[in-house]
Amino acid sequence: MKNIKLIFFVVASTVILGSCASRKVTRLDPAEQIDISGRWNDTDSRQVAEEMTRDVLSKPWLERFTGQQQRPPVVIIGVVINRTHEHIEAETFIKDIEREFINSGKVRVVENGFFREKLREEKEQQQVNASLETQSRIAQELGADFMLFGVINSTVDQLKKEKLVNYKINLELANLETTEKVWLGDKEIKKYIKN
Amino acid sequence: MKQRLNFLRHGGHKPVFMLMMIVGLGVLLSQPTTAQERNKRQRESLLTARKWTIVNVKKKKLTKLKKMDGFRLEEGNELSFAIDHKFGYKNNDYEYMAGKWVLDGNKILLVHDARDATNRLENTHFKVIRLSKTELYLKRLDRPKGKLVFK
Repeated sequence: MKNIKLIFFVVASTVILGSCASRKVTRLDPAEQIDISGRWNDTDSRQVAEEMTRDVLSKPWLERFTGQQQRPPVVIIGVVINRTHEHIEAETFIKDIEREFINSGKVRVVENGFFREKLREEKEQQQVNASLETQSRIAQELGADFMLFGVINSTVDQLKKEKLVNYKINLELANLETTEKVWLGDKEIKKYIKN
Repeated sequence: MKQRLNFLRHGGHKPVFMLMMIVGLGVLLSQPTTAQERNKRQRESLLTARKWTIVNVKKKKLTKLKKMDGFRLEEGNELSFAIDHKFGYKNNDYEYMAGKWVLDGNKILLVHDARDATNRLENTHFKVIRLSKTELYLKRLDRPKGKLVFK
């Protein structure tokens, strides 16, 4: 009986002491490049965002549209399909691209399908509950001229402790009316991982 | 001993000597190339290691919209070189320049789209005056010429 009590005490104290092990948290510069597992991370996402943004905003489609229409183009963000072996949240770099579009003032961005529905629900509510002077009008939405969508692919080559991963991100901008592709952006990220 | 003397007398050493000369010359010539390549790789890794921001524009002309054909260079502009030899430039007017970069000795060649609706590539040349982990000092070789300090 005494032995059982002793064993219980040792186990309990080990668990308690183990849970009290010190944890170190360090704040880092988000721009710092740190790779731990070799999987898709924030650095890859940032690189894609930067390259795609400067590419899409420096190509002639923008100058042509602005010259012809005498107004900035309106873009809607479509889907970015993930066909890689990993979970990649495309929204992280898509949001960066949207932000640069808006900040530049050269491209106008409208909400995607999901948020548009939310906005319409709110607008419908306003028609009943909001005062006449402050109501948002129905059927006043901005129609998009272009849609941005894309696909992320990856290939993996692995032997024993060595691994080669290649990510390829393709984004396209297509004219909604004519379905013409006006811009194609691609970014490749190649990683050699040795365990 | 007699055989060895015969070998030398009949010029048997010549092919061996020639072979040694060729190997020696090959080693000598390949040495600087390896060193140059190492140096180039080192400079490229320094260039791609960070995003560069202009902290000083030495010539006022570079900051003028008219003189720079609509793409002025000012303090706060960002330039980044990627490992896949693509570069990006963003100025304070949210004008972007993107394309490929090539390091040739101490010169950087930027190949980018023309700044109009035409499908044409144009080049901009820079000379690297100083390159370290924290500083990039470039001289624009195209008109208007001028020096730029990046941090």
